[in-house]
Amino acid sequence: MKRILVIDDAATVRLYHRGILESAGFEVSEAVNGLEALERLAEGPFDLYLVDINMPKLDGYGFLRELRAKDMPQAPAIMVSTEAEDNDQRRAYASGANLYLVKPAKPAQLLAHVLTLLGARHSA
Amino acid sequence: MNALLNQFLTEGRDFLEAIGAKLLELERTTDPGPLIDELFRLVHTLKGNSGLFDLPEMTRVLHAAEDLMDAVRDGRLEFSRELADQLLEAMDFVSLLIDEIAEGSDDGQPPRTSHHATDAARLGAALRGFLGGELTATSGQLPASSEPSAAGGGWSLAADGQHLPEAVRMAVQARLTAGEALCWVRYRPEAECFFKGEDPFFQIMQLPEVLWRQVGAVASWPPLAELDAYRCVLEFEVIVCAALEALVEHFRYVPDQVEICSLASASAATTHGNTTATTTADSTRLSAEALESIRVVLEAQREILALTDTPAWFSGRLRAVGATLLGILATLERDPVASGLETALEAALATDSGTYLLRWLDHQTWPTAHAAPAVRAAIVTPAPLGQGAGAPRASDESVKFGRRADDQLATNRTLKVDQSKIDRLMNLIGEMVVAKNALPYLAARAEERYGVRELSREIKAQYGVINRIAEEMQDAIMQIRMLPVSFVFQRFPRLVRDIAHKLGKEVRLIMDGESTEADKNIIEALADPLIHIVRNSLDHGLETPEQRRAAGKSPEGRLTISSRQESDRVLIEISDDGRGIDPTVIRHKAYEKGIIDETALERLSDQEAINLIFAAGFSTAEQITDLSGRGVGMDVVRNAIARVNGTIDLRSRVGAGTQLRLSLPLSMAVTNVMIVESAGQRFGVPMDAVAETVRVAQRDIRLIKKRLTTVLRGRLVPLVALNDLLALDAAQLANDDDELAVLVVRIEKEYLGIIVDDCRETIDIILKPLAGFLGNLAGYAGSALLGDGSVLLILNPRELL
Repeated sequence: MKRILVIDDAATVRLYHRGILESAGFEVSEAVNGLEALERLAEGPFDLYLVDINMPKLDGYGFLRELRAKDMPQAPAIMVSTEAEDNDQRRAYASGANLYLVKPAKPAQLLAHVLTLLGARHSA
Repeated sequence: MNALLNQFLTEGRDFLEAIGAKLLELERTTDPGPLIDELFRLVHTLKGNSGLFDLPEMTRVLHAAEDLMDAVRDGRLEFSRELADQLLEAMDFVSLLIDEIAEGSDDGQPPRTSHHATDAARLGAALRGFLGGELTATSGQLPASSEPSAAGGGWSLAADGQHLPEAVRMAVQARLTAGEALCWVRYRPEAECFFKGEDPFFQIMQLPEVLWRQVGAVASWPPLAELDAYRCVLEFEVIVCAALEALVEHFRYVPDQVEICSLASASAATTHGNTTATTTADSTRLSAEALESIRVVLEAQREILALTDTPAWFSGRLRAVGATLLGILATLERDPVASGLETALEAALATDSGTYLLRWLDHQTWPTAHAAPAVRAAIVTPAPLGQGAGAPRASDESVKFGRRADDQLATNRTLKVDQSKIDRLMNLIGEMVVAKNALPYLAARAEERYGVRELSREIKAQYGVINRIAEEMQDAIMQIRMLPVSFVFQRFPRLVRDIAHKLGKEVRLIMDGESTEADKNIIEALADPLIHIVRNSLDHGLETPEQRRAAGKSPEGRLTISSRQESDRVLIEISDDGRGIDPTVIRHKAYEKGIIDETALERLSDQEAINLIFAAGFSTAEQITDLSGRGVGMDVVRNAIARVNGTIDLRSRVGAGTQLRLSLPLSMAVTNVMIVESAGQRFGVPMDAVAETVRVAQRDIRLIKKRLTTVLRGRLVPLVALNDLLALDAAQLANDDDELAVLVVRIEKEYLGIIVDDCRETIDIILKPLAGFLGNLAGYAGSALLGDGSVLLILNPRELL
């Protein structure tokens, strides 16, 4: 089963993403900030990362840079933010994100992207 | 209530509290940088959360607050007290909305809060006022303007060439770039729609995230006299941020009256809702959404590869892009080796450059996202977006927030539990204690009535076991109910700040021992009295900066609130370094108000005089302000504290300040009472009040000024008969030696003897307040159920006498 790590300091957002992803049959783990997310990597790499930008301790950019510097299989990362400015998108890409979405992402839309990134079949 | 909404409300309250605390901290700190960052993050996250729901009023205010904090963070705006005031007000508003939502939500959907729209607009405008001329983005809150923009060209709707206002056009463009699904909808309700129970306006208002809206007339308006109010002559046009499928679902009852056009791609595919199910030519098996997603993801990878920076972890970026492209290939069911992706990735890694991957991307043929038939197919038979055939379909409506047991939760070890659940546990253990107390009765009956001593002993042994478990359980539940005093203290920083501003005083609040714990009931009972005391201190105790300077004090007054535990009591001290209480003034006031007589005026010590402010109807303020209020004096405070078996002690020195000390029990769930008998009935008296029980011979009781008294250990103690107090028509019974049973109670350092017929054992009971018609019966603290099933009324000596 594909494992997805949801990193967000807001429990509400984590629950929201968990609901969407689990309904599609993915296994979801959570981390409340970048630092904790890095710790979770000790369990082995995930298949996809869903990363918030603004978080205490270590923000999304910082987490992604650390992740990408690791000598482990790399997986796609979606950066999710409430900002809708080009600048942030560029920064997200430059920090190691593979996709930039504006929060709240619509469930169907988010799921479509997740399926694409994971190479899962969209339709039966 | 829906789990997500519940989570949002709980977390929202935490955020609001943190925001409030940070704002106050900001006014004191010398290094505001990190605090401002933190504040921005809090407001930002809260706004993000609110965006998950249809809460336009809340989102609007939070959005404005976020923009404001952003400006402060970037140094475009100076943080000021006015700004803090405005932000605090905005957060109060959000707090109010959260409370309303919490109360009004029963079907899992947040209730409408549109009646607050005016307030939201006002607060939003006030917040944005600080930003001055700065142009602020208001995505999601665009005004529903119907003015066509003069600026033509560029992006326009193919559907009918309708031009949009510039701001909307830009927002639409931005959203499309961000990969969101946008649709244009025209809804032309039937003229007779009202007779079919349709509500076109409601339909439109129910749409989520509307970017732009316009209402127009289908034909030119007829003269007013000919207008038929029962016919719908309107048409609605909206641009909404939602997937085509969702909109088709939304308008499912009026498919023939709607036109929906997806703006997701440049060559917008127009569809009419009344299209009958067209079977798609099976040119592509992927849904429009999947194709769109692939296009967006590919576009993003191109951008990433085109970046010119080369960080130390560059290979990580390349490998991540490689993984992403692999995902896309798998989605399209293409072979990564045959397509040359792996070769390209290796070459890219070897040269430390994205060029090879970019080139590979350009040489592949990618499906185009906007094949109109595919879109149509998606509407008619929405392809299940699951993994494998059995996966549940995920759409905007059908998302379930289920959890599997094997999922680890990244949560801390604290559990948030609803208060009512703990109360329920408490009630249950109360019943359990009572039920368990029936066992000794049973044992006694087994022995006395049925003569089975053996069984009686066994019952008693079993009782011992159950008793121990029940006691431990009770203790454990009591522990859960313990709350830190910070529950009450936390509102003081804000309260003190606001009141001090209002009064033009400078006050420094020092709090200590906020983590001291006590039972929830005690803490809750403490809230109002404490607030009153603090207000009094600010209003009457502390002086204005000028007065303080004249008195040789620093202009900033000090208010200290501290709390600590001492054996089984919680002590709370509130002290200020204000003007203190002048006993002479109190004496004269009390005399004028008729609280004391002339002899007392002379005789009272200073401390006794100061204690007079606890007397009913005493108010020291020369003029009643709107802060300390009218009539609610210190007597109310004292009574509130006394109700939870607390005491209050006041010390004051003129010119140096006042100190109030509250002493409260840690818990009040279990009360130890002594059972007394009078006129054939049993009553309980709380043991806290009982000083001793004695037998007094009839002949030692004397009448002094028509009052019964006796001498106990060299002290004169007044006596009253319980039957008289309770208006029971019977004389108190003496024992065979002609002695009366006297219960000596202590009330405020005074002793008083209550004559009863007999004193019995003491027991632990769960005190329940009298409810209903008996609720306001003075003299009783409540009732308790006894082990034999009878009800014991518990007296409250303080009120009784």
